[in-house]
Parts: sequence; C-alpha cells; structure tokens
Amino acid sequence: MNDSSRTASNILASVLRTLAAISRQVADRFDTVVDFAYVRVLGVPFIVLGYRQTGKTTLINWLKRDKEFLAGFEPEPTAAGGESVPAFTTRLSADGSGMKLKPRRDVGGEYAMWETDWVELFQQTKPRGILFLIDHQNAYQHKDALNFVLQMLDDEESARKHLEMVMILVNKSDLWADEQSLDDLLDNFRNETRRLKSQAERLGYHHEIRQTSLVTEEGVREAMTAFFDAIRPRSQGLPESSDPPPEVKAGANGHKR
Amino acid sequence: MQQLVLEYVIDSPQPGYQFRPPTNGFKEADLRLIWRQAMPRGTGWNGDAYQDARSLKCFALDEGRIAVSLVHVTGEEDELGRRGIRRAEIAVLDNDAYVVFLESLLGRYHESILETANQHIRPYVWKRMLRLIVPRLKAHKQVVLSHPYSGPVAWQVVEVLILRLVTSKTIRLLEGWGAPAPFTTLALDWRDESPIVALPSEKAAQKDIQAIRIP
Repeated sequence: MNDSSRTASNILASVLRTLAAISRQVADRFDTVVDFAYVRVLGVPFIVLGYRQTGKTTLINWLKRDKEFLAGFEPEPTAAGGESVPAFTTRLSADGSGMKLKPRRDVGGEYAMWETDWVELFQQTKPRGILFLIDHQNAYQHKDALNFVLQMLDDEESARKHLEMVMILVNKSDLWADEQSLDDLLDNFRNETRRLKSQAERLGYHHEIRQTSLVTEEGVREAMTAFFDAIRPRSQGLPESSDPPPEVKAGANGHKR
Repeated sequence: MQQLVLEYVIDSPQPGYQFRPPTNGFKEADLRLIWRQAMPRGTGWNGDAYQDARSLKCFALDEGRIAVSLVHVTGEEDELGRRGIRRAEIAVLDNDAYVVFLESLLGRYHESILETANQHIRPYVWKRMLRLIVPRLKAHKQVVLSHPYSGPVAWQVVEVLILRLVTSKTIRLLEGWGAPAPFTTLALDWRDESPIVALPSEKAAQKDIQAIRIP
C-alpha cells in the first residue's frame, strides 16, 4: 500500500469514527428525549400480576402513596374487570427525581381473571415491565399463574415488544423468611424459573427474583427502584445501597446498560 | 331473557370471582363484556358505610341488547378476612323489554321513597339539573352525579332520580328514542364507568371531576 492510499484509508477511518461518534451522540440524545417523555409526561407503562391474595393491590397502593403508605390499608378482593389506576408520580427513580408511572389497571388474580383481565391489560398496556407476585402458599396456583404469563408473553408478540424486565417478587417474607430461605421456597418453582430464564434469553428481556414484605416494607423500595430503573428508557444507575441483597437471584441477562 | 350470576366463591378449587355455571347460551364475547362491566367501579366497598349497598348498572351489548346488573355488597369475607365482596345478578334484555323494565322498576319503589324523591327533586330543581345534564349528554360527556351516602335505603332517592332521568322524554328524544343511556346508580369511581353515574359525595370530591350535586 503506497502513501497516498494509506492516507486515504486513514482519512476514511477518521471520518467513520467521527460519524460513529456523532451517531452515538444522536442516539444518546434520542434516548434522553424518549426517557424524558416516558418519565415526565406519558408515564412508564408496567403491569402487576400474580395469583389472588399475593399483594398486587397493596403494592400498587404502596407505589402510589410511597412514604405515606398507610399501615392500616385494608385491601378488598379486586372485582371482575379490575380497577382503573391513573398515572401517578413517585420518587422511586434511582437518582431520586420524580418518575411518572402508568400501571393502567389493578386486576384480580383468580383463574377467571387470567384469560380476560390479564390478557386484555397486557395487550392494552404494552408494558415495559411486569411485576409478578408470589408468596409461600398455594405453590401450584402460583406456578399455574406464572406459566400462564410466560405463555402469554410467547403468544402476544405485539404486546411484549417494549418489554424490558420481568421481576418476580416473593412477597410476604415476614411470614416465611424465618422458616425457610428464598432458595428453599424457589425450589418449588424450579421448572418455572428455568422457563423464565430461557424465555428471557430468547425474547431479550431481563428478569430478577426478589424477596419482599409489603407489611414491613423489607426489600420493597430496593426492588422497585431497581425495577423502574431497568424499565425506563435510560437508566440513571443504581446507588450503592440499592445493590441486591445476597439472596437475590439476578437474571441471567443481568442489568441492562 | 337470559340470566347470569357473578359471585365470589370461597369453597372451590378455584376460589374468587366467577360466573355461576352453567353459562352456556351466552356468547363468549357477551360473557367477556359482562365480566368487564357488571361490577360498579371503585375501591372502598369494604367500608362499614357500604355494607349491604346496592347498585343498578345497565350497559349495552351488541344487537341492541342491554345487560342489567343488580349488584349487592355482601357481608362475606374471604380466607384473609377481606371484605367488600360483591355479587351481581345479571339479566340480558332486548331494547323494548329494557324500557318497560326501567319503567316498572320505578313503580316498585316504596311510596315513602318516591315522596322523598319528589321533595328532593322539585320541578325547578329537576329543570336546573336537566339544564346541566343535557348539554353533557349531547356532547357525549360523562354525567357524574353526587350525593351524600348514608345507607342503601336513603340512596334509593338517587336511584329514582337516575331512573327518571334515563326514562325522561327529553333525554330519550335527545338519544333518538333508542335505548335509554347506560347508567350506574352507585359506583365509587367514575373512571371506566357508565355515561351516567352516581357517586357518594366523598368519592366525587376530587379536582378532576365536575360532578353535579343532587340536593
């Protein structure tokens, strides 16, 4: 290669590098704009699912009220059709700034709701994240419900196209954590967690399993901060204190970005 | 007339809200719509004030049919002691039968309730309410009515008012003499609710609702 062709290729490489840098900057700016639109204007779409009596309504109310969460909150069984939940703002973003969330509806968890309310909610919301609640009781029903959701993710291609994370909350830890570890409890769900992991890899979303107690609030804030940071278009980066505790099962895909 | 019950079942392998079987004879699409619409919206039905509360909710199905859902807040509790459980008895009627049904309902209220309703809704009050309501209905905007809730018997005055409203000649003329507008006589949230809905005053006292107060 002579000098002139070497110079030309250097120039070309330099131009390409510059173009790449510019396109990165443009993409970065675009991400920032999209993030702003979701977090400040539209609301980050997510849904809360899980078998009956796992704490879905309580979780949505915890998110809505945040620090003002009432210890005396008394949920009632969510009726057929669910309840509309307007978008609201929380301080759960990783950098502590306001974040608008849009769960759309609070739906019940019994079998009859799955084919109707769950599928409809998923189709309408096109969520960026799914919070799925289980607890230490009714393992068969939780497995059925989780398998139903995983199948729904496979079937509903258009509704899942923005999905970034599925987080399983093993709730009511105040009732079971003294008797068994999270690993012991999840032993019942080996097949389902395997299926979740393989589907997450195949469909390109992230997954995590965390233990929480909405009664004592243990693990809830950390889990929610991590979840909403993962599903917003542009991560703010989690503070040190929000690192998952050792018993947390991190998704095979790890955290995005 | 087809009938259906939507209720909360506890002693079952699949507990929770469900249609009482059999549901054959109903189209899948109807069942889905009834499932979604039969219960009045809102939370707080577990409050002592709403024990034994009743709500009448009417909404359209396809082919001109109307579903009439009579909802009752039962005194039941689930395994965790959660209250606010509701039970809906649903009848599906065609348009003509529906109008007759609404008119016959008005005739079933106790004389004292009708009298109280008359006292509440003097002709000038009625005219004033229509002046507020008709433009909203014309513009296809939701009409939210509010009144202090003090129990199921006292709330019957609101039921009478709504039944008069939806069967009124003015409104029906406005609607082209089709089926009376869908309505809910008691809900705890206006969102996802009928074009005409009544809420207890405390539930209507929010910035984003322009409720019409029933005196």
